[in-house]
Amino acid sequence: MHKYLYCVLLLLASAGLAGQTFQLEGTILDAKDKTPIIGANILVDNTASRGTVTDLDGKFTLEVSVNETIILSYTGYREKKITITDTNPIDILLETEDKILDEFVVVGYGTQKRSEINGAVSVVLAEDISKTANLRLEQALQGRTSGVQITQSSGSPGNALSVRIRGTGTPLNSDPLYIVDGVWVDGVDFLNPSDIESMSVLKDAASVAIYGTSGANGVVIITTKEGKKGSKGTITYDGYRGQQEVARTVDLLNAQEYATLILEANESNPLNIPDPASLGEGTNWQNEIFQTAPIESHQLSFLGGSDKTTYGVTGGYFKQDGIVGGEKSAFERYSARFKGSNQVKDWFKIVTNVNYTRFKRNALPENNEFSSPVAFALNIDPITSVYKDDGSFNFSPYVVGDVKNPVNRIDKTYSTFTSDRLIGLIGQELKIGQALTFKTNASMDITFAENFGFGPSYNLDSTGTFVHERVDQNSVSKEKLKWTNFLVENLLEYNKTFAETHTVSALVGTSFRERNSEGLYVGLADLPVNTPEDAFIAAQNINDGNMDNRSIGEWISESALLSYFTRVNYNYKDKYFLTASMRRDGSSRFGAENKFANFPAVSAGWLITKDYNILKSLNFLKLKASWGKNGNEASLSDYGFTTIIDPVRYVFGSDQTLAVGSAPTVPANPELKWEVSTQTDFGFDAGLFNDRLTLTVDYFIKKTDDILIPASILATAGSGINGSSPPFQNIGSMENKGWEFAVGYRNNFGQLNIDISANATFIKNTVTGLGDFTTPFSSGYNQGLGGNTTRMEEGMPLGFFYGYVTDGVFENRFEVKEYLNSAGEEIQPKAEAGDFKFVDINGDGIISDLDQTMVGNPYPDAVIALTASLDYKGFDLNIFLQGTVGNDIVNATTRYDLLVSNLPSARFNRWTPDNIDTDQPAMSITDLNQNFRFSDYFVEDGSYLRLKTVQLGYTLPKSFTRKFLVEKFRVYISAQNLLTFTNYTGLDPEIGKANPYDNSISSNLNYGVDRGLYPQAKIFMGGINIQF
Amino acid sequence: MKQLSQHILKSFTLLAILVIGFTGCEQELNKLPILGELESNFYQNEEDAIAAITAAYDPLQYNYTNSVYHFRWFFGDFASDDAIKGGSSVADQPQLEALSVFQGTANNIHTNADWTAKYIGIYRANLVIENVGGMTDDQIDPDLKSQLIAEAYFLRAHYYFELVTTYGGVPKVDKLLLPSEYNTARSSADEIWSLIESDLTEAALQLPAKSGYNSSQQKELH
Repeated sequence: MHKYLYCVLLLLASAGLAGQTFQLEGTILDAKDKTPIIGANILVDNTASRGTVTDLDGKFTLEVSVNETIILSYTGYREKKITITDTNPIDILLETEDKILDEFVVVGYGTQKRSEINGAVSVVLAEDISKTANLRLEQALQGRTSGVQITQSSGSPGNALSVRIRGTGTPLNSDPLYIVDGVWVDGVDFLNPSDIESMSVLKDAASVAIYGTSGANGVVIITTKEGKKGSKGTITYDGYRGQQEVARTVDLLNAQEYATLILEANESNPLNIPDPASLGEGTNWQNEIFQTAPIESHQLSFLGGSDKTTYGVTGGYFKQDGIVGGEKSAFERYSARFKGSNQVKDWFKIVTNVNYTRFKRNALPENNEFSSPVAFALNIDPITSVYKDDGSFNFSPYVVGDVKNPVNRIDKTYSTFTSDRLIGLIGQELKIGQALTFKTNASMDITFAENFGFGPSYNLDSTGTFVHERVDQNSVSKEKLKWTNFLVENLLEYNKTFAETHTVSALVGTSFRERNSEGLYVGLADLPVNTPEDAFIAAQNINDGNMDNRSIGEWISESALLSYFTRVNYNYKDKYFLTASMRRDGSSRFGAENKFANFPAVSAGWLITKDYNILKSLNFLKLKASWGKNGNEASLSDYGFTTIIDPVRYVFGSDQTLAVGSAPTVPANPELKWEVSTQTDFGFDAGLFNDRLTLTVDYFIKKTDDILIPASILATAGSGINGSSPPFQNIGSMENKGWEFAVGYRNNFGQLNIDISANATFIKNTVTGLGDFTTPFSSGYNQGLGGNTTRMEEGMPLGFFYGYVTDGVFENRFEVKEYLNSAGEEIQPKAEAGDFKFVDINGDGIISDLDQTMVGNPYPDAVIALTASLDYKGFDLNIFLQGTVGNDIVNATTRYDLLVSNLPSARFNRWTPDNIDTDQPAMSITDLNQNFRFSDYFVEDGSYLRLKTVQLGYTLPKSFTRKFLVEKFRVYISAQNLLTFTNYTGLDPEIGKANPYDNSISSNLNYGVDRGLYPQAKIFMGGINIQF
Repeated sequence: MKQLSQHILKSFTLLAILVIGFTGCEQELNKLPILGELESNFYQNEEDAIAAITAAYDPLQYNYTNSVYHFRWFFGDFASDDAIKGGSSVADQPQLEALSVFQGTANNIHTNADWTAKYIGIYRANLVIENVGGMTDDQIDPDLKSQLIAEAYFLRAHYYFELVTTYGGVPKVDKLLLPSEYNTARSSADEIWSLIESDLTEAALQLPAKSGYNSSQQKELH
């Protein structure tokens, strides 16, 4: 009887309920393991105002009426729409997102579904980033995507990494454009890696063409974390602590071996080197400069949102000491961030974003044979002790000149860079009807920075015999810097689907960017005090003393960029995709004739699997092609099209009258125009076995023309006066072409989940022209090798190594006498037994400058990476390997020119009358053969494979932690740079350009040259993630 | 429907503001250096003209250009029996060693620095010849003008003399160059000598005698 009654009531109810509201009760579960999904979002279709969130058991209640549609969503799950029937309560299953097809990807000025993208765009998500403890944001990108080579050329805390998207596109500034939450920023050292929600790397020309002049080097769009609409609030703590140590040291001669070799070179012993028999191991200078150093990071974040607002608030602290010098090369960062949005009206939304970062970096000189403590440690003799008997710093009586006691040098270095950076953005989104949206973003990025340097006076040899360890005048310098970036952008977007088959989205936009940098510098010498704490400018009356003791400088520079752009995306039945875009950019850096330029792009895609069933296992296959033009003006200084008059001084006449003259320092170049890169890309994305196996392949050709170079070598122009940069010109062209492969595999076997991804990038760089320049550009100057080591020349890779070729060592005098040219003369008349045999490359019968040739390529044939993640019942293991194949390194760490510097252990196997079968030349003080001029002897294979990260974590069961209100509790241990496989004999094979902050041509051509770099540390750490 | 049309109206207003607002920004692209005097505003009066010729004398004192020494005796004495390079070995200052054993190339840092210094002088002399030459009688006394230009001709001849005696034929730059003209081919030594001759003839015609200067005005070549 009861049952019947029920049925009748239900019938009545359903009839009556149409159009009426009722309380729907539901549970949202994971489709796979049927666990409740907490914090899932439920919204009644088309209303932002009616919605709710699931509770801890995945349950929700919501007032709905029959035939209404509700939308269920949760990060990582495919969105689901359900039309309300009278079923109540209901269980709803959400399926995990089909990655390739449904993932929304942030692209230039918008988002697109993965399946709609025709270009080459790689994405790194928070979950990937969290698998390793990243010290810097660039590290979170390293090895994660194909086509991107990231090189950490220095282990010095806080130093930048070099980021190259699809190779080095230009000899000057090849750094990508970074956009953080809509703000164009220079450098990303202010960001805490764990603040990142996602990073999109736009690689092909069509994807970046919407950024016109700023896109040629690729674009990285970074979105920081923020709560989701209608989500449950979360409180998260992330922290780790660790210890760093040097990964490996170089084998050098010990004291006894050193004395043996130096005496062998010069038997007359003018330096009074002790009898080798009286010496033992001596000082291991590397042990003296390398130390263990702590590292720590803490971050608190609060994310959440209601049906109308979203917010994210985070605060972080990071500190890393250096393995050379500890506090003397430390980096410390405080960061605070607020990000929020509010749907003020159904048709109007505001967004705000405020980011403040303070960082402080103490730095030691690095990768330089004249100043780096690491270079000193590799060159100073092992006989000398660090300290004298009285405990004060010792000096070397043997290796004098440029090489100093590195421990004393570290002690006497005081160099601090402090930066306060504030980034703020306000924006609005106005919905106009169903199809139109109008968006505005205005942002300001301001940095105030200070550079402080102090050099105390000291004298290590009070007898005055050795003056190389003596500084008579102390000095202090202070530099105040300010950079501002103002950006305002307006977008009008249109989205509409016609007849359910033609989807059109279009946008038009304008952008205006103004940049300003200014600085003030004061340097004083000969202060009355000799401690850094007291060494401020006011410590000495600036009007005191003579002019030579002070230097003062000031500069201001401004530039502006104005742009108009438009893009149309069209897709037919989600099968055929077409995108076309155009940007018109005007820059203040060019003269009136050449201010504006246009940058067009087109791309197309075809989702084959919608039309054909090629293979049963192939569930997704999309072919893509794109073409576009991008510009680059980042290399250019602000006012290259014009010039200013600078004062010069000259003394006239017998009465020595000082006259002040005026002349332009640099000739103006009114012909300056845009550097243009044109790129063509073909590729495909494939998914197999229901996306368990994914594959992306791209082939690209990127050509750069009208390259902007400050052409110093043309002295005829009257340029290149001391210290000033020569005029920029549009010179030459370059080509990068290559293949990118990315493969991913994920599967689960019972409770074991596996996620493996690997990628490889093959790029070939060629300088295709140098315009009218017949003389190549040379760089990579090295004192130890007595000259330049690299060049830029037509038909060769950028910055290839240029030197002599050796063909072993002459075993005896006969071999020298038998090495003859066609005229029957000795090719190396000055050579002795034990000297290098140099190859007469040009066949002119003598060894001269003209016999130099390509002896190495700093760029790898391939960059490879592998990431593997496994998790099983709360345990997770992450492994990350990264490496390069086929690049070369110039090992220029030894000061052969000094003849008395310490040497690599390999030199102990030098030629002697008793050891003639060797590849090491004899010791010689006269060295008439110039054995140590730059040759292939110094070029080593730089390929390496490095276990960048291995991390083991354990997450406590939710059922347990929830009793303490804890949603997630994970602990982990992690090791970075644990293992490195390489044949390179120096400290670290990961070598980029000389100085990652320096975008001059000499720095970029100085790529892969080891002059005593600061090696990366091996780091062991433990960490905790707690989420409430 | 009324609401929609209002929305459309709003959007067009916004678009109009956007376009008009940004057209104004185009003027912001005309940015010029803030510190220092622009070349285009220079060469306006006698003071400017004298400063310009002083700058043309300045490279006479150069022996350390772009952080590299280039004394005359590097090229004269080292490359002869007058002096030996010295130092601890042949690897000490290898680029000077190259000069002393006649292996100095176009890439030698010392010749490069020397070359650069001389052409800076030539450039500054050309600046005077063309820019002071273009000044009007309102701006400069005609006698002073012809004297300064004559000095510039003399200086140009002097710089070329130093170049031609060291290197033989060099690129002949007798005017201000546009960047597209920088890559000037090497002229023969004879062409350079004839340029020196015509420059000196020009200078001699206009320059006053030594007695025409008082001591503070006397300019000497060091």
